Amino acid sequence: MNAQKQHSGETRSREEFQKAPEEIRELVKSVLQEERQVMHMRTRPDIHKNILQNIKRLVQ
Amino acid sequence: MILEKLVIENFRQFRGRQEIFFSTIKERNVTLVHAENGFGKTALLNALLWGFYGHDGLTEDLPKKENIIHEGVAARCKNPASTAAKVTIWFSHDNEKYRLERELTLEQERLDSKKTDVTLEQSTDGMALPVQFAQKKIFTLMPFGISEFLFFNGEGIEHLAREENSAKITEAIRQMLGLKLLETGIEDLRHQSVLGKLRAELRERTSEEKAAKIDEQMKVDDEIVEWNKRKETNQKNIVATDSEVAMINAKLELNREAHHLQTRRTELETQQSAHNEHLAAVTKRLGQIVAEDSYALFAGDLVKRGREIVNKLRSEGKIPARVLNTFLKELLDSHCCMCKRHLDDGSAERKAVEELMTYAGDQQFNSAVGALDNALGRIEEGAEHTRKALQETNAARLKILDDLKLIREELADIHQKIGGKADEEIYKLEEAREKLLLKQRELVAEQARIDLRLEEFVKRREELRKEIQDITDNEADAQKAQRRLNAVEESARLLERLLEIETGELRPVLNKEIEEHFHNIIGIGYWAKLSDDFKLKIMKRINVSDTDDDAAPSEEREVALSQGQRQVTSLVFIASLVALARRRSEIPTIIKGLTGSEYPIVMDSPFGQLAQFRPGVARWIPELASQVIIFVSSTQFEGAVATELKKSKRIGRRYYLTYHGPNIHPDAKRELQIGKDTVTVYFEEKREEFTEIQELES
Repeated sequence: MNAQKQHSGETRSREEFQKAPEEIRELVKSVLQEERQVMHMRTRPDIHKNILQNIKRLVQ
Repeated sequence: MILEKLVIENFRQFRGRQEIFFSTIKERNVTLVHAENGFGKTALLNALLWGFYGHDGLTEDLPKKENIIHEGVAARCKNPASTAAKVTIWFSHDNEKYRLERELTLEQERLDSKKTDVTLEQSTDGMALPVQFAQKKIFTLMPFGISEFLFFNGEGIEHLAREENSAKITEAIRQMLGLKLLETGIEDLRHQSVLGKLRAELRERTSEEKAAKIDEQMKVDDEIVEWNKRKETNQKNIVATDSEVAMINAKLELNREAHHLQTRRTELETQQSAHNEHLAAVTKRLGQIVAEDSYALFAGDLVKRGREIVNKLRSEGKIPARVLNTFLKELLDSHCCMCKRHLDDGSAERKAVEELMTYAGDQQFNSAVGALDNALGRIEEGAEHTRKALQETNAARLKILDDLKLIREELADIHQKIGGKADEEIYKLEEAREKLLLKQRELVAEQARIDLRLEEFVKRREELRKEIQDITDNEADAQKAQRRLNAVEESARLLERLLEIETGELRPVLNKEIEEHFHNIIGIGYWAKLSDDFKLKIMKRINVSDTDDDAAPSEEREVALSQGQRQVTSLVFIASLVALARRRSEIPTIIKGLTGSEYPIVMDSPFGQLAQFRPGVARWIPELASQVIIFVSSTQFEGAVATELKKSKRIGRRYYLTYHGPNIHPDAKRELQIGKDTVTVYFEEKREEFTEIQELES
């Protein structure tokens, strides 16, 4: 949140994220993208199915 | 999100087509709508909420929610299919332009007014394209959970500053700052339909040994789900009991006979909770001292013995050594003394030097004793320091315990006095309160038991996860299934770490933000803070000595707030959250959606009970939010608010509502003096009532 972080373009969570293996980063990104689409809906149809598909696509 | 324009057609008391252009200029970000009581401020707020969320968005205080279409229009209607109420909102969000339209025909209203038609268009390169699943998109742009923090009746928001609403506050923080996305991501990855399915796939393909462990892991997971449900229910019961106690407290406070005793009790209970927090911190500090430094206290004998040895060596002249054995050895090896005499084998000179070797000091021994001497000194110093720290911390602990004892005694006394009142109503309230307190204690104890069980199961789950991972599969399919399982578990753990980091970093920033704005609006003396579990507290410092000296010892105490103070606190919290969300949108993060965003604040009558805080609110809220829309009556506006807004030059656009009807609200004026203009706002109309929106040129 501070100015230094804003200048360097890195936050602690981004640093932590970058430390993870690429496969995990991709998986987390895909999960968050799926969640982003439905996160404010009361019912969230297909979210689990979609996440499962992403896992199977990304982890071979 | 920045609101640009609102068009209302036949919505509630707004007859025909009415429109408002909101100010979008950052330096003049306030849009003012002047409206006397009963003229339609609440209906206007509800028009916006209905536009975004339909029936579910309407505020609780709106009567007859099923009647959306203007009564007169509906009564005269000849074709229910073509008569409708409509709200259209133009807005921008993250540099995209949108047009939202919600419509309800009279035909549909008669069937079910909750079912409305909603369309959303997004402008791209000048082309307006319809957005599929409009309502879903709206929820994504502005989550329903945060709407009560952005569109609200100022007089009804004081509940946010009540402790029992900390869950709502936590939810709003998480939603507005993007943390909710991480939480749901973790939940969904660990869901039976994801993790559970992957486990089942692995179980089918793996060895019997591993399958048995997977079975056990599934059972442990079921237990965790079950215990989490119990925890949630228990937490809800705690919140419900707290609010029942608060209700009884309020009733007792309103009762003339019990008023003073109850006020004192509230004060004491606030002190008690602050003391308990302080006690926990001091006890923790004591534990730290004992764990980290107390060895020095038990090393007294060792230090004494060490000192004796060092002193003996010193008295024998062995330290510091007068001559070093390494130096004598060099002389003997070179067969030449420092006085240039030869040290031949068997010579008297050589014998003399060899004799010197018997009491010559060893360099390493010399250094070791020096280091030992130094260490003994440090241990002695450390012991003294630790003894002092222990004494002081323990004295502080005992003082808190004494204070707590006094508080408890006084509370017990108050309970007896209130319970002993002749008034039957007071007696019954006190008795009900006592029962609730007992229930509260049981629930809190139950919570601790649940937490313990959960901790055990979570630990076992982790053990099993490692054990399963360590059993290598022979089949390629089983290996792939294990890899997928590992990836899901690792992803969930990464998300947990990200959530922890984000929450940890945001809390102090938000805290600082709230504290600063609270100070600006309320002034000196009080300050606001968010506790670790996001409870919003207002604190003050009180002198705990008998002197008036500024340097005299003082303590932080939580303040029991009045309704007006709670209202300001809630306003400050909302504005701080909106300001932080706005700043957070500028910070890069791993994915779009984790960021915050710009949001407007739409306030109906925000200056109601604020009295002395009105200028602060009028001045600072527009500084914090990107856009502020205020619906205000003349009694709330005239004076301090008008002066402050004029001074800050924040007003971008101004409107007023005119009311046409048979009767006028007793507090309402027929004419308003707004700046240099005098405008007529009430028109007698016998046939039906309706409201119109008029722009004010200023």
